[in-house]
Amino acid sequence: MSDPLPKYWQSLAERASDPGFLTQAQDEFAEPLPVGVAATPPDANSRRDFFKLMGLSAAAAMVACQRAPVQKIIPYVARPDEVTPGLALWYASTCNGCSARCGLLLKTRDGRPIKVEGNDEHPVSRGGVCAVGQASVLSLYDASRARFPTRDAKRVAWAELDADVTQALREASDAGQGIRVVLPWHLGPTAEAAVKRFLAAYPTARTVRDEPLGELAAIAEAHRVTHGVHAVPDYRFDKATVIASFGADFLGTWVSPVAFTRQYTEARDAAGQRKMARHYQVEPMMTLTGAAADRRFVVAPSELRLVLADLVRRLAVKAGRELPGLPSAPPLTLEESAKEELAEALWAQRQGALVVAGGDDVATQVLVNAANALLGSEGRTVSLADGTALDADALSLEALLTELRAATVGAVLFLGANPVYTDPRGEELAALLKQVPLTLSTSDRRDETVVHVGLHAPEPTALESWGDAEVRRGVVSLRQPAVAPLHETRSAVESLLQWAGAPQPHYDFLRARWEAEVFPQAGGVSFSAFWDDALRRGVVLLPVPLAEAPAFREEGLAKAWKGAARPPGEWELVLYPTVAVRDGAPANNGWLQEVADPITKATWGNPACIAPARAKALGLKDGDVVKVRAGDRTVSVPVLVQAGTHPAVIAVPVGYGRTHAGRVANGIGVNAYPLTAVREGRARHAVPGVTVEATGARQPLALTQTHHRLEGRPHVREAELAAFLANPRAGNEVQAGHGGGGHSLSMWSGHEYNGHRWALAVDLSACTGCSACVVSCQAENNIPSVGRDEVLRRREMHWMRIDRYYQGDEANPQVVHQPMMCQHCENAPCETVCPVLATVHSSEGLNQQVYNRCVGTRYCANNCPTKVRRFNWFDYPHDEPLERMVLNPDVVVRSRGVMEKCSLCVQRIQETKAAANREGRPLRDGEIQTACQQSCPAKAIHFGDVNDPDSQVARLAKDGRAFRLLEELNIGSSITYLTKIRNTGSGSGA
Amino acid sequence: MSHQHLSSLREPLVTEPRTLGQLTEEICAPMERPPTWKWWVAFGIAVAVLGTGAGIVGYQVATGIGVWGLNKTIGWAFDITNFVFWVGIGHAGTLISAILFLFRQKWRTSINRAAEAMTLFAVMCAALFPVIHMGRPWLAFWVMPYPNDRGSLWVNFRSPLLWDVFAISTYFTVSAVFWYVGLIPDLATVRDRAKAGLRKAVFKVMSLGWTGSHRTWSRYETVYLLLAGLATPLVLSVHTIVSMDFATSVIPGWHTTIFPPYFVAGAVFSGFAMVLTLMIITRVVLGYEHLITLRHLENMTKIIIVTGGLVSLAYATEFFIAWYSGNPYERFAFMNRAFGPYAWAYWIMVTCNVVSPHLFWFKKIRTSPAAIFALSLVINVGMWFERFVIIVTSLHRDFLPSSWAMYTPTMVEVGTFIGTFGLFFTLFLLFVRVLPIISIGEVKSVLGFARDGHEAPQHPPAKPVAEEPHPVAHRPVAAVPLAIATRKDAPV
Repeated sequence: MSDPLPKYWQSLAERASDPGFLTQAQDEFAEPLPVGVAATPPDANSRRDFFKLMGLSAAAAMVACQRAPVQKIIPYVARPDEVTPGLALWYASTCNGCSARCGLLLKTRDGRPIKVEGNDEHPVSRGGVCAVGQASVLSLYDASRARFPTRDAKRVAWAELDADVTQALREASDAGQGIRVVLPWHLGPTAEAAVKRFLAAYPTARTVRDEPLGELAAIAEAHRVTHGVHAVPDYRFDKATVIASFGADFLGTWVSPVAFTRQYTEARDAAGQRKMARHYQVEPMMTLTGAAADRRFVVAPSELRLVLADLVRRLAVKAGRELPGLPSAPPLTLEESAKEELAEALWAQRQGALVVAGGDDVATQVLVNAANALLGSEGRTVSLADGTALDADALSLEALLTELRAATVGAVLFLGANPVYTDPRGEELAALLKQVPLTLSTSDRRDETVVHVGLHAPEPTALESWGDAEVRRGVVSLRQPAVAPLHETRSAVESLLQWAGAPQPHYDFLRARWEAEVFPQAGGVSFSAFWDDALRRGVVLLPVPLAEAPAFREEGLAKAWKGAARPPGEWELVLYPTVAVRDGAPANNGWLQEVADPITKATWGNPACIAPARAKALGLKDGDVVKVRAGDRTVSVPVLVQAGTHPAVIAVPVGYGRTHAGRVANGIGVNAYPLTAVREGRARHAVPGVTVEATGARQPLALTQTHHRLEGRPHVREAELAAFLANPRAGNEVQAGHGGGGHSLSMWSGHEYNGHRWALAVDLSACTGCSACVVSCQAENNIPSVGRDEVLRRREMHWMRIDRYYQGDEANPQVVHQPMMCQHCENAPCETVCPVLATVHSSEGLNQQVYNRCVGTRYCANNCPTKVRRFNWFDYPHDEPLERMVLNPDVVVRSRGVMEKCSLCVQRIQETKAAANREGRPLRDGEIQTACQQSCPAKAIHFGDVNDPDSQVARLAKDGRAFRLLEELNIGSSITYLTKIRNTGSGSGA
Repeated sequence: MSHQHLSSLREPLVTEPRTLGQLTEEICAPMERPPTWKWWVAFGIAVAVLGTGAGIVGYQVATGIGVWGLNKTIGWAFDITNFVFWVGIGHAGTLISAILFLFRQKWRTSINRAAEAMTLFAVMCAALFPVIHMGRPWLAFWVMPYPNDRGSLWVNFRSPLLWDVFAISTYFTVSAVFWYVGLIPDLATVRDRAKAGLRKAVFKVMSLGWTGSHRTWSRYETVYLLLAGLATPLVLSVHTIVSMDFATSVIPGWHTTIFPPYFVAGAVFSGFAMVLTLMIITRVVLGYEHLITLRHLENMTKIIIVTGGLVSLAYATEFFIAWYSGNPYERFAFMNRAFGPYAWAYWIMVTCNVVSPHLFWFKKIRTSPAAIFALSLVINVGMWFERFVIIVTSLHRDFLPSSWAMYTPTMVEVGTFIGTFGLFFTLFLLFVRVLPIISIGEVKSVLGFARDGHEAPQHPPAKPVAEEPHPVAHRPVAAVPLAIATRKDAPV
């Protein structure tokens, strides 16, 4: 036993140190490998090799007998440089949802856009996106879009269509007949250049500008009258110290709501600035903007400009000036004190004041210009120099109709306009189009106008095409496609260039124009570097030289003030765009149909708002169908009793009742456009003298909220500015019976959070209720749209909603919006009751739902005090393969029978944590943004780690304004709400 | 033959003079003759309703819970209302057989068998709902704590729904065992009366080799007593646990400490009403008026008066506490119950459960089977509405007014509920045909003969002995009274 380690042996050969064994032992494998190992003798075929070869030859024989598959499969051999499967790519772009043109970031996964977010670097929209912008990604995959060009509804090749168009245009031009291009106000500088080139190619060609609601047209026309410039000024709500809006829903739909919301929030940041701009709203019906106002006056639409004229008169008196053009003051229903208060408030701030007005009335806009001129706010809160010039040579739709009646038009091209639907003269237009030799539309679907034209040259959506925009002087942004066109479509710019005889891809045209016009202004050495950077950022800020804006000219005032005030009549109709469906263009979109209107909370339809007093007098209830008659047109529409509506007003949203929008929007709601009045050749959306009669029929309304009072419960807390400045906890006092005193006991020891603890803070003062977050959440989390019937059954699936409550007089109530999502309670009532542990608490404070464990008892939803849990009552269809492409691959699509709810975008938390982990650094505060937070135009939502004392959320959680829901239940909500601050001036004498 | 000697002042529990043999004949008769056309009609209707219900449930499982009228705010309505309703019905049987047994209430003997059967059938109906109300009922077995290969995945012992699973399954198991043990002597009697064949074979197995010896009887009675003791706490526990589904939640109107006794009282209340409903029909149809006598009915109405009073007190207490607590949500929940949109349901409940039992103070009503029958139905309706009111009115308006909503049932829900009645009556009608619905052995112990001043009834012409084929059964084997065990242990 000299050797301490015993020597083990495996075989006798090893023990004997047989040399043959030793060589063999060098090889890892007992049997020699015949294939590919040169060192092995070729004749060493084993039984296994024999079988391998036999199998191979048999397989080869069979393969040889089969045809190779002829389907086009493309192996991912050469992976594009940028694309990493599973990682998102972001492209900066520009929204095309409305004329505001906000900056976007498009999120693509494996080559398909799945989410729209705001571009933080965009100086105007600053990271916000509205509901329509959010939903544009769903419209990309809309199965109802046109997939190829057609002639008389039959498919044609592009070349054939181009040949037809070019020939017809030439014939029309040669015959001296008019060529009319009907298009919206501004498509962007490059597209406008293409239009110009087209007009240059055909001397008889002219533009016809069509804007369904005529708001920009009225503003531009008023400026032509008072300033000699056909332009829309740049409004700066952030510079305002007092805001007076006459029916302008600037937080909801007017001009550029996303940018205005952010500016408005900044002007009213009481906590940060210790002051806030007071907001006066004078309007006939409750709008999103009116809901945010400090002081709101309800006047009839016919009185709106009289009140404004009265204001201008008072301002003129204060300014010691005479404005000869103003009519004498008629008696108004608005009290003297209110009129004087408004004038006083504006005059006190003078240059800090901002007066705006909505609607399509030019005289009103002229008065607004007068008011701003008297106050001296021009160039400060409203800047014509930084504004956008609109096509001054364009014809109106009325002019086109006159020409069509005279049969002097040889071609009508509709570029993204749908006047047959949006204009009261649509029927006549459709009939007149029949005799025009060339009629064409570039609409992305076979809409109401397309069915009356001969040729259809469909455009791709904004997410598939190039473009640019200039939303403020010096702020130019690029729109780049995030995906190649899904269908056989061609951008209108390319089509116009083709028909103008200068065919050029849209990209080349855009790039060339930027090289020639934008790059020299920006300066720099290399255009390609500039271009790449511009594409990457999405927006370029050009140096802005000081510009002199033309001054206000009084003489225009009298000119615009034609015709006395109309007798208001018993009923006045107001046609208005909703926050989601706007003028009806994006209507075929389940997300937009299903997001509740911020005020009426109606989905999938357009009920007519009437005042509670009027409804009571007529015995009308929600859902009673009335017949609205304007002239010889009637429309039957269910009513919705809406607090804050003027008693004489019936307000009907436009954009519904589509017949050719697609399978989502067709037949939803009623089309109110035919009720539009036409005065002096302009479509007018405030229609006095209509009649309203009950029909006795009923049509239930798909509302997401049916109770509008808080019943004295402190779920929403608010304070007056003066009280808040004196005491930051104002309005946030503990109330009897509602706990929060810290005397709650618990049987449980509580959770420990050693790392992060995620939380949200929601600023009720900033939130306007615009509902962009709701759609953003829906897009991010694959939340199904359930349709009208299911909403009627109160089964909408939204993970976050906005609760809207009224207080005070129902004729003119105060409104508060409260975004509501899963509260991620510390002691979550849902967690204790689930029998199968399908909802559990994470180590980072999240209340997590485990879909595949859920058996669907719904006990958690019953026990949820905030009722944020949503149950999959059915298998919601995802059967349309195109529409399925919008799904976010990071989020599970839930099956029927399971519960779901807000996860605080746990997929984003994990993704960002993983990225930080890879980079070996701690997470930065604000690095993780939930979907709702990202898109919020008001930046009212903050997400972060409350365990990090320096994080914004931790600071807000300790703020004097902070409160949590249902503290008396000791649920320990992770969501901090900040009290709403109002500046009504009541009690402060201000 | 030993019988208790009872005072002639006591009213007899069996009102017609009957010999032991006659009693056996009478009770076994429905099993041994072919069913009547009435039975066939009733059975046909019951099976048709059951079949329809099964079809509706199948449709619902295939399509989704969305075919019910529930919504984001109201996650339970008909389903859990029906569940609690049926569990409540299932209360009377075990109460009658176990608690009344322990309290030596002899009058229970002629109704306990049927009441226990009713319990089992009602619990079966009840158990359907927790399964089908799930979004994914095919995964219902996940609520069982069984070892699995999903890591450490287990059930949540903090969840009252899990307690429910245990409470209901325990209750059902013990009730079934108790019922079956009580049946054994009678099964032997049936076996002994049966001719050779399938019937004989089946009952032979089921009667577990019962010989009727004194030793067997002695052991039997010990087991029965023990099981009665075991079942008694379950009578209280099962509805206590069911009430905790609500009481442990945070929802105002549910979160109430009074719920356990309140629910138990309500369950006994509704259970007795259901026993009355069934017994009144059965005694007429089968001609058992002398076995299930007016006195039985009257006793049960008295229990209904008491439990109805308890339930009324609970209603009043809830309102008082809602006011006294100063909790604004609680106050609102109760005001909403009585005066909100579902006030009609609340006042139906109050009328049926609080007002109607007081009619039983009148002897005339208490002794009129028709009136009792009508009132028993009224109480059943009232108790169904009680559960509906508790569940729906509490959920539909809870903390955040923005989520307040209304609930309307769909035809699928109504059909499912009616379908459970089909199941219940199908089972009950089968029970009437295949098992002795009155405990032969026990009821013989309360036969009135051998009382002072009463002549023992004459035996009818004796049946030929050859008809009783069992070798040891020359006398009715099961005729040894239950009282033996107690008499032996009695201090006298």
